[in-house]
Amino acid sequence: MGLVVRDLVKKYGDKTVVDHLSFNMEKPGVYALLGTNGAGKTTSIRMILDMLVKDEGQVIYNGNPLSIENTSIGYLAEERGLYPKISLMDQMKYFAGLKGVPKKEIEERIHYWAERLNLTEYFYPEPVGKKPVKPFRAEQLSKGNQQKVQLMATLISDPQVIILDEPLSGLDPVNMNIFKEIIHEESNKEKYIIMSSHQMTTIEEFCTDLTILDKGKVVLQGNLKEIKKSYGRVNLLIKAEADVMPYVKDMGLKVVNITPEEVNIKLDRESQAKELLGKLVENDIPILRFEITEPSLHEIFVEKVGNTNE
Amino acid sequence: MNKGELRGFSHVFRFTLIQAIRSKSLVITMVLMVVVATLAFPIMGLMESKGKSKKCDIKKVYVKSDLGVDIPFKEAVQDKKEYSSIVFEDITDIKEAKKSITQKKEKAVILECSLNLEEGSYIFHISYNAAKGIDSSDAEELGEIIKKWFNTYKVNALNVNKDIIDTLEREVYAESVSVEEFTKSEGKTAISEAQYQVVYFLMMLAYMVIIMAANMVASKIVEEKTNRIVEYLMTTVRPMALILGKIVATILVVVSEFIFIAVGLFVGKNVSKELFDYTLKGGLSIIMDGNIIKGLSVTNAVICVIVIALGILLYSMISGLFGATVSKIDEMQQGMKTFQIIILTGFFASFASLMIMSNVEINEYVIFTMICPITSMFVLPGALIVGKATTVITIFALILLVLTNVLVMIFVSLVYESVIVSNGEPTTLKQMIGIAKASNRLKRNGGKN
Repeated sequence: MGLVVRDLVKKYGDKTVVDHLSFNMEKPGVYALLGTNGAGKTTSIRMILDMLVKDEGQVIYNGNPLSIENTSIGYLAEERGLYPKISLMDQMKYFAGLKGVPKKEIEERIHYWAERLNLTEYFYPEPVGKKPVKPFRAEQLSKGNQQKVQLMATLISDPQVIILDEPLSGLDPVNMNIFKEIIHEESNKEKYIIMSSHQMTTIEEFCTDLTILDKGKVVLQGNLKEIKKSYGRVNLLIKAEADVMPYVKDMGLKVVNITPEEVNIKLDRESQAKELLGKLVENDIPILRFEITEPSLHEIFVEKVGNTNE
Repeated sequence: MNKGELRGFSHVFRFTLIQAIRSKSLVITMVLMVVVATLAFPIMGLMESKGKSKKCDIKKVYVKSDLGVDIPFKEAVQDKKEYSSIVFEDITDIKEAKKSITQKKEKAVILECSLNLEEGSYIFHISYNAAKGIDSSDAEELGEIIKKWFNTYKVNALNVNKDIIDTLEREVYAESVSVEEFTKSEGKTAISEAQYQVVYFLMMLAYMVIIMAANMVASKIVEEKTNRIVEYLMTTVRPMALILGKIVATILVVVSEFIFIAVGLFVGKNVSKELFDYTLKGGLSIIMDGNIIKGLSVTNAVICVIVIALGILLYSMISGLFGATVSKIDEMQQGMKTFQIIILTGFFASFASLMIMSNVEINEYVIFTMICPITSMFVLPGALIVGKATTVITIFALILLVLTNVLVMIFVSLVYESVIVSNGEPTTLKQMIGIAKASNRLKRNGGKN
């Protein structure tokens, strides 16, 4: 059962913006939906959320078509979406009511999330002297705080399916940590979370499985660990007290980055590392660090999308 | 459209209504309009009373009556502020009275009442002395007041009730026409000046209410789209619930505003009558003095309300749909172009119909505008009240209006969810029709194109 996205297609005239997107989330967790700008991520998300009519395909959750009528869905959009001139409390009560949160629980949940997200001063402003308390409006908040309010709106109904589109963009390190903690917590609550982001380090931190889209088509899909394994360990980092470049050039290896202290090399195969190490040892080069790693998701992404665009 | 498509309607309605009521700009506008409406007639009354010539100089009226009955002429002026202090004195010898007004400094006039037996009419003759400072206009006006009062007095003396008096006192128009012409033009004669004012008033009222409601709906939808709130809302609420919730709440707010303004006008009218004895003229008096309501049946009143309400709903759905095509506030004018064309066409076609109604007759064009869904809300209420809309026309117009509303609702339900999330250039009507066809095809094929 779980969440199944099957053969989603969306066309605008002759242009196919999403071409047979399919993926499965058999177990709760975090799934990454990646792609370049204009790849079709947002359109795919909107079809999954039933905001956009699908030309083809289905989205099934626990055996039934996913819809707002039978499933509580939380969506954090990439762009800020709050009423600028309406008080935060009024908006949150409205959103909670729309999401079906029982009236008796609304205040309690708002209070909980306001504390969790360090938004208490905006939802429960303290009076200043004898002046009456003026409720805060969204336009008075910074972008980061608005994003936290939106996250509150996303999670206030304790949704089963959560879709986060660029959840960490524009956040300072402190708020980024808060968001990451919350995403971890939600993921541990057996929720199905789909995350879309350009921050590959974030994706690697949360997601076990992913799909990469390019121009509406799936260019890579699967379990992140296995994808990395399939690439092999081809990133080599050397830190030495002598110049290693002559040996690197001699072997015809590709240098990705060079600093006064380190050299980053892209290998064609793992055995080349062993060969290079042998030569360096043979020539008594004092090695401080010699590390072989798998490619990062960023590298895989660039390579995949770059290859497709060629 | 099924019940599920209205999920969230009540929340959207309640939220929109509360926020509209709390909106400072709306409250200030409403208060200003109510104040202006309340003060309009008193100010007009004040200006008219100041504009009138100096206070009446007549202090006394010598009454020489040959009518054979005691007529309480004092009653004629007791409600008129400028004349209420005039003393009426019955006399038998007119010479003494003439002496008084010519030789003494008395500011008096002589009222001679007699009966012209040949013509069977009453003659009221007022003599005044201009040299003693009595203005001819004061004397003339006093004469008119006494004449008008006496006509009522005569009928009251017969113990006839006020309603019958009102009916009997109406103007009489007589015309002759051949049988052939009468058959052809039966019920199609042009409307009178007063009827024109009634139809015009209702037309303008409907237009103002519709344009206010439609613009409010469109700007709320544009606001939600440009602030990207709609993307969040659509994960919870169906698009039809979003737009209908807004429309119903907005209609309630706009109609309430107009009710408050109407109350203000009636209060102002009564205040101006009390303080300045200001009376309305022409068609406005018919509307504001309640005669229009007296002449209106409950059925017609209900039909008028239904027609205007359906008109507001129709235009609000259209404006909401075109508002949803706009991605930025500064594109609103461009996006709403088609809506503006539709409503202006409807209004001006209706106005042309009114001109024809008042200058020519009730012809095929006028009947068409009573029935056509984009004009009937402007023309039909007024035509119904002045008796120019037959039962058949009314029923046909209502059916057509309801059907049009249903069709537009279906169209909106097919198109709205696509346009509300689209960005870029505003979607044109042609593109919307394409979207509607594609959506309909998809729904019929169970989600496959």
